[in-house]
Amino acid sequence: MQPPLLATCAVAALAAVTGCVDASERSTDYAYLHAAIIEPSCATANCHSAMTAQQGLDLSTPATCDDLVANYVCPGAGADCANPFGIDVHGLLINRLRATDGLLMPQDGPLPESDIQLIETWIEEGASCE
Amino acid sequence: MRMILTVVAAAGLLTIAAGDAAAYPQFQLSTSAERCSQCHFSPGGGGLLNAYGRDEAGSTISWIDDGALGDGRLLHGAWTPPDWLALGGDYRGVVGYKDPGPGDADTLLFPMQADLYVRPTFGPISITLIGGMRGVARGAEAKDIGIADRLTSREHFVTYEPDSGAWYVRAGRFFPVYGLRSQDHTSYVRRYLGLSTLEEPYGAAYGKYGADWELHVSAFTKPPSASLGIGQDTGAAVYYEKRNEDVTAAYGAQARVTASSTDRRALVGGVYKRWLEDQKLMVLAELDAGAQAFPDTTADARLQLLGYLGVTYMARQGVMIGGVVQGWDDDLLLEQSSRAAAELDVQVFPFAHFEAHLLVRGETAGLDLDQPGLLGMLQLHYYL
Repeated sequence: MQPPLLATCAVAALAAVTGCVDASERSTDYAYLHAAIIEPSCATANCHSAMTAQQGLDLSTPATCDDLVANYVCPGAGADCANPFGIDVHGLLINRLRATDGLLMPQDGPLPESDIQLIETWIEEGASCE
Repeated sequence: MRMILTVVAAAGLLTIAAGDAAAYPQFQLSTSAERCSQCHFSPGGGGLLNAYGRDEAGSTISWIDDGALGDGRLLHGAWTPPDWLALGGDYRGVVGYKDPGPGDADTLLFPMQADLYVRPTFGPISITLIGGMRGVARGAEAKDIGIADRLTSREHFVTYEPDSGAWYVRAGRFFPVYGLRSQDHTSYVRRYLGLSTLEEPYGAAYGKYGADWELHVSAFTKPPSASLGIGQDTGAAVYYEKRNEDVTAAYGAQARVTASSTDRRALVGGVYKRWLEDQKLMVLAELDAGAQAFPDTTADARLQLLGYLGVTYMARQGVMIGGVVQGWDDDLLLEQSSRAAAELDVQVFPFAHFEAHLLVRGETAGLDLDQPGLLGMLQLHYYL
């Protein structure tokens, strides 16, 4: 097979080979969420990196989880967030990820649905930073 | 002369008002350049052009290539720095429109890049410094960031290269050579492989050039200060490229491993470049497969795949029309975790130092075709 054809097949394969893992089996450890979703998607150089910290929010390390929870998951409830959906229908974070109020995060394009659902599950389970 | 001074003044102002590398892999093989370092001082391409690159930029790749308009030298040849010093810069401004899919659409107007390059040489030793303002494309939020906070240096490194040019070693801050180095930092081969804006790590590298091959080996770690950007995690990369006998095709093999406090990643990949002279087509392709593990969590490791295929039609000297399809899946075994994009690029190089680049990209996340994102962007680019 010629290399360009191989690359084309690989691009097409992205749509075809997914779906072998049950999403509900994914870990909700914040360290995993951070390394797999938040750091590559949100803590980019000009956004929520330690250098830029847009809106005062630095998401560059897992240690900043408390700030995220206190300000964007369940504001007003501190870091104790057992039932965020009872405080705010979706929470600011989910509002942003789903652009419920028009403003989308990440601004370059939405997270894949599987990642948004995992963050929702993490919040429903109490948004633990452990 | 007045026009040149005006341009230089504008470049200076831009430098204190807006980061991006400027490499054009389409020009390798399709011009007489066999490798990136033939036109650029940097072994992996991008940034400051050498004398040969400036000459090519003013002639082979520009629509109008004669008279003053064809002079690719610094300041259009009005002043020549001493032999031991190379100077330059890249400046980009953008207007455009973005509809991310879900959420509100927005218009774009921002300075994307304003970098100055300085490269003094002392015999076989050179020092490359890139300084400028990091770009901010975040509308009203950009006002909150002061000029001093936006000053940065994406790359600064010392290189030792003997007269023969057969090998080099360098140390400092730079992108380890890996994959296609597009000038577009949002292309998937850069955005999702840790090669985007201000992700340059600190490290050391060794490279060797043969008649029809090159090898680059790098070891690196994160910048020592968060104010320098995010950098890559600690790791190593190797890139090997072989060209065919008539220099119309190149095949690259590459690997990279990185480790951070929260994850371990390994990538292997291949690059293919092919110039089809009769059809005036340049083909660029990259395929990378990866694995990422999270040792301190209960999460399983995940498999990743990135594919990039670009075909550029050299419509005439100074005009490129390209199409790109690219895909990235950060968890191959999970549904709705992939991204895909199709892109049209029209690039016009009217004469030396100037470029206009129209980019239109449609994109989906999780293959959600109900709400595709759309980006339309016109970049105006001037290199000093």
